[in-house]
Amino acid sequence: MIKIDRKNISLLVPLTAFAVGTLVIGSNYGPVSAFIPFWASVFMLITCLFVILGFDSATEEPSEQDEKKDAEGGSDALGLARLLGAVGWITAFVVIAYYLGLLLGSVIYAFSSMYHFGGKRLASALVISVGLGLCLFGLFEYVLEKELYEGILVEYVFELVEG
Amino acid sequence: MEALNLAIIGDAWLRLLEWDSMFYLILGTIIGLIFGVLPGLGGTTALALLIPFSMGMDAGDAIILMAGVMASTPTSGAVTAILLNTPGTAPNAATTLDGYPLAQQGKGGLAIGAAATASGIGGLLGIVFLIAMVPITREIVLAFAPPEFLLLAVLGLVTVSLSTGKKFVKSLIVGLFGLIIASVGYHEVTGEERFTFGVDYLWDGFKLVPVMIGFFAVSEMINLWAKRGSVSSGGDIESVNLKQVFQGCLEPIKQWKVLLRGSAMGTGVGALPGVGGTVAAFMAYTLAVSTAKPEDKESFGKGNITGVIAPESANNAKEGGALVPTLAFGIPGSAEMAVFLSVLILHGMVPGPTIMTESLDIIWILIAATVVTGVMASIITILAASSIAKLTFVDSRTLVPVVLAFAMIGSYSLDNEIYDVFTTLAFGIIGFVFMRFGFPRISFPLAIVLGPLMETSYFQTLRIGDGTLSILFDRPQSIVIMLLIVGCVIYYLKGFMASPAAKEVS
Repeated sequence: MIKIDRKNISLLVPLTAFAVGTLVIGSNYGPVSAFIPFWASVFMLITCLFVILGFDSATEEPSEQDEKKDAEGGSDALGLARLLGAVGWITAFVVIAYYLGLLLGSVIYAFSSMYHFGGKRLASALVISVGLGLCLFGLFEYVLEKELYEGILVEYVFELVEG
Repeated sequence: MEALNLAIIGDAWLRLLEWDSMFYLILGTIIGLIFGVLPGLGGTTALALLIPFSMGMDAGDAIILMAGVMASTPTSGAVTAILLNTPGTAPNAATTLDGYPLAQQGKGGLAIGAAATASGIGGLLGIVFLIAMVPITREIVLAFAPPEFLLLAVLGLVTVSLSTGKKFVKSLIVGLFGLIIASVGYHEVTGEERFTFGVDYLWDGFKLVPVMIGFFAVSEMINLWAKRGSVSSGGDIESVNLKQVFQGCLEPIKQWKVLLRGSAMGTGVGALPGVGGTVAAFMAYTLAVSTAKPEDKESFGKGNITGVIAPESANNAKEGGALVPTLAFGIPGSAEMAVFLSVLILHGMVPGPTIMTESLDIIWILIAATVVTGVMASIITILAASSIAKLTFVDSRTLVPVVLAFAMIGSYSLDNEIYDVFTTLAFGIIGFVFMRFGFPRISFPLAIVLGPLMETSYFQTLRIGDGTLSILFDRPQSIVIMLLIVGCVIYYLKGFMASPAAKEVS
C-alpha cells in the first residue's frame, strides 16, 4: 500500500519541482553539457517520488532524536514561527549589511542580537559588538589588506557629502 | 624513492620551527579544539570559515593552519562527550557510551586522560599509514584513467549516501541536488551557459567557498539561533582532577591491543570514501566489545575504559586514512575532506598523480603539522579538560552574531563580491532546511567538488571511446569499480526488501 510521506512533503514537493525544472531546461544543452543536469535531474525526480510515495520510510526507522521530537510535541518541537524567526533574523543581517556595509552591519546585528534578543546588559552588548567591529576591521583592513564593502546607503551618503 | 626524499621531509619539519608556521599551527589547534567542543560546529565548519583567511597566506602556512584544525577537532569533542554526555563532533558519540557513565562514577578524569592519549596515538598511527602510502600512491593513481575517475566520482557519491544508512535515498537526493548546483555556469569544455538565466554573477557558477560556508557554518548558526540558550547545559565538569587524568593516560598503553585494533579500524574505514569517522568509531567500539573477555562484556555501556579507548583511537586515526583518497584521487572521503580539498585547489594544488611530485613538500608539511597538532591537542586536552568543557556554556546569542559576521565577511573578502554574501545566506538556508527535515547533508559538498571532475572525466571518456561509453566495459579497472557501484546498490536494495514495511508494501 502506498503511504504518502507527509512529514517531508513540504520539502519534497519543491525538490521534485526543481528536478522537473532542471530536467526541462537542462536537457536542451546538448549531449556533453547536458550530461550531468539531465541524469542528475532524472535520478532526483525518481528518488523524490520514491520518498514521497513512502517507499523510503519502509527502511527508515524513527531515530531516537525523532522520537524525542515527537514526544515533545510534533515533528518539529522548535515550532515554525521560531524557525522562520531564526531564518528571518539572519536574513536581516545580510540586508542590513547590504545597505550599511559589512562592518557597520555586523556591529548593529551583534548588538541587537545580544541586547534585544539575548538579554545582555547594554554595556556588555555594546562592548562586545564594538569589539567585534574593531577585530573585523583590524583583521580584514590591516592584516589581510582587504577593503570591506561599505554598503549602498553609506556610499550614497558619501557621494552626497562630497557633492 | 623520490617521495621519501629526506631533504624534503627535513625541510617540512624545519618549516614547523619557523615563527609564523608555529603561530598558524597553534592558532589552528586552538580553533580546532574550540570548534570540536561545540556540538554541531566541528571541523567542517571551522575549515569552511577559515578558507577566506587562508587565501592571502603562503600555501604551506594555509595547510599548517588547516592541519591544526583537522587534527585537533576530534580530540576536544571527547571532553564534552565524557563530561556532559554531549559529543562535540558526531564521531565522539561512541565515546559517550562508556565515557559518560565513567564521569557519573567520578572517573571523568580517567576517561579524559585515556581519550586524549588514545586520540594522540591513534592520530599518529593514521599518519604512519599515510606515510606508507605516499611512495606507492603515484603508481596506483597512474593506473587510473578518465573512465575510472568518472566511475570513482559516482562510487564516491553512492558510498557517501550509503554511509547514511537508512537515509540513503534522502542523502542521494541531496547529492543529486549538489550535482545540479555544480553544473551552473559555463561548461568547461563546450562553453555552453547553463542555468544562468541571464544573471552575470552565475556565469562562473556558484563559488565553492561561499557555498561551503553557507551550507555548513551559516546553517548551523540558524539552527543554534532557533534553539536559543547555551550550546550545552548542566554536567559535572568540576570533578576532573589532574591525578586521575594522568592515570587515564596510561590506560591506552596498558590496553595496547585495543588501541592498535581501534587505530587500524579507523585508518581502514577512513580511507574508504564517504564512510567517515562516526562509522569508524562505532565499528571500533563494537570490535572492542566483541573481542573483550566474556566476563568484561557486561560492563560495556556502564563505564568500561576500553569503550573510550577504542572509538577515540579510531576517530583520530581516520584522518590519515581519509587523506589518501583525497590527495591521490581528489575524491574526498568526508564533508571535512571536501572542504579541505577546496583549500588545496584554491592554493593551486591539483590532487592526483601530480600532487605527489609537484607538491610533495606540501604533503610532508601536512604530515608533520598533523603529527605535531595531534600531540599538542592531546596535551592541551589533558591539562585543560574542565576549561574546554566550559566553552559549551557560551550563550548562542553571543556566539551566533560573532561567527556569522566572520562567515559573511569571509565569503565577501574572497573576491570582494557582495553577491557572494547572498549566496552564502541562500545556501545557509538550504542547508538548514535539509538539516531540519533530517536529510543528511554530507553528500552535498562531495557532489559540488566531484561534479566538475565527473563532467571533465565524462568528456575525456567520450573522446577516448570515440563518442561512446563502451570503453567503460573494456578496462578491468572500470569493470571493478562498476561492480562495486552495483554491489553497493544491491546491498541497499537487499536491506530494503528485507524490511517488514517493504514486505507490507509488496
